[in-house]
Amino acid sequence: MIKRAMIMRAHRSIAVFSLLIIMFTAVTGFLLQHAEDFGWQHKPIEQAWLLDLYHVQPTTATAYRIVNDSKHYAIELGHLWYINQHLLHIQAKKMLGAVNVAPLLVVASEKQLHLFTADFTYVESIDWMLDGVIRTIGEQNGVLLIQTYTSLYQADASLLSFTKVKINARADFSNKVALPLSYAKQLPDRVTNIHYLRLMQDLHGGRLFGLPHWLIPDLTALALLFLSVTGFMMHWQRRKAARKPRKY
Amino acid sequence: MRGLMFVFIMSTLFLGLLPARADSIYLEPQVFVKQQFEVAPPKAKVIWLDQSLQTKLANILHHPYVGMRIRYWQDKQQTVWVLNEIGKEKNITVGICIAQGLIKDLKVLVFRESRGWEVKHDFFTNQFKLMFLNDKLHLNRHVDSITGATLSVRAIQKIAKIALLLDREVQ
Repeated sequence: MIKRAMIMRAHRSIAVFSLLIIMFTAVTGFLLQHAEDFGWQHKPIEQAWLLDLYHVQPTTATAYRIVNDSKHYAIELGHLWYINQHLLHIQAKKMLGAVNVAPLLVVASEKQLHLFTADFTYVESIDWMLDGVIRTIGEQNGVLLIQTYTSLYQADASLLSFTKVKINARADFSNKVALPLSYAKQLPDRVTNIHYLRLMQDLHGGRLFGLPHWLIPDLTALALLFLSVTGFMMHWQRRKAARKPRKY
Repeated sequence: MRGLMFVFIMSTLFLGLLPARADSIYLEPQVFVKQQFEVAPPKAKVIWLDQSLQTKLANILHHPYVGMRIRYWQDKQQTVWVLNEIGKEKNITVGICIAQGLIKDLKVLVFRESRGWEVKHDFFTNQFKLMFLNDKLHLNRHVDSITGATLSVRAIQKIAKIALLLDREVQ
């Protein structure tokens, strides 16, 4: 029979020892449970020390000349798109060029045209009006031209319909350029699509700081089990003692 | 018998390990638009979303509408819309044809989520036919949901409401 005093001592020691571990797991678990309420599934991590944790390497920017706009560059940095240092709020892959057809700015990806206002507010994406994959976009006499691998299209003034046209040698097409250093300095060195939700999952699951962190969830589980069992044993022994008739 | 059982278990395991499906295109949007008109579809038009319309859309969607203009096709009888809304994580593309303020046709065109694709079936989409928007901007009839596709059902309902609202605006 294990003595009650012994169980109590073990219970107390484990409780003190595991206090921080259980608190850590509880807090990260709570934050994980409410991660969507904080919008963490969409917010990428930006802090340098967090990027270091995930070994995120510096990202090389690819810049395109914007036809009809000499002050701005359309920039692809990892999965993010920028006009100079202004982040465009869209999810698209592989930038292929940009044209300013006032009042709209058009940025092309392989299968879509993305329209923005002059202050870079998102207007619309056009993704199924054209056949074939877009190669580049350009402009001639204020008209947007879209070069696919098979044909050349011309947009109407409001960018609503597109008609096939013959290839025109005088058209000005957007092309890749070297990004001037002063512009490159305004962009973040490293970008990632690792979101805070993933960070919280990794913190809670013990996947960030090697073996000691990996052991935390296990220790939490063992400590909680131990505390539950010893707590019950103490309660049981106390109840048993209370039932025994007292000798005076 | 044991061999058959083994094959069954292994194939079940294999199917379970297959990655989630990619985009399912049930009907190309431009084909849907063409189908709604007896002759060639008219030239597309756009409605620009002013602040008041943005607010109304946000009230229906429970989040701001992403974008500033929406394209549609209109002739004397009807308007045709191709709209997107997120089910759980990805956009569902729906085509809606509205005639005289009533839904004439609603079809799921592209489904990108891994679950909830059951909303593509006619037994579900036919429920929307002849529905209209009441003064409180609700659909006039109840829509029967589908078990396991709650979020997709909600998204389709929101799209139906938005299309009816926009149709009202352009008339």
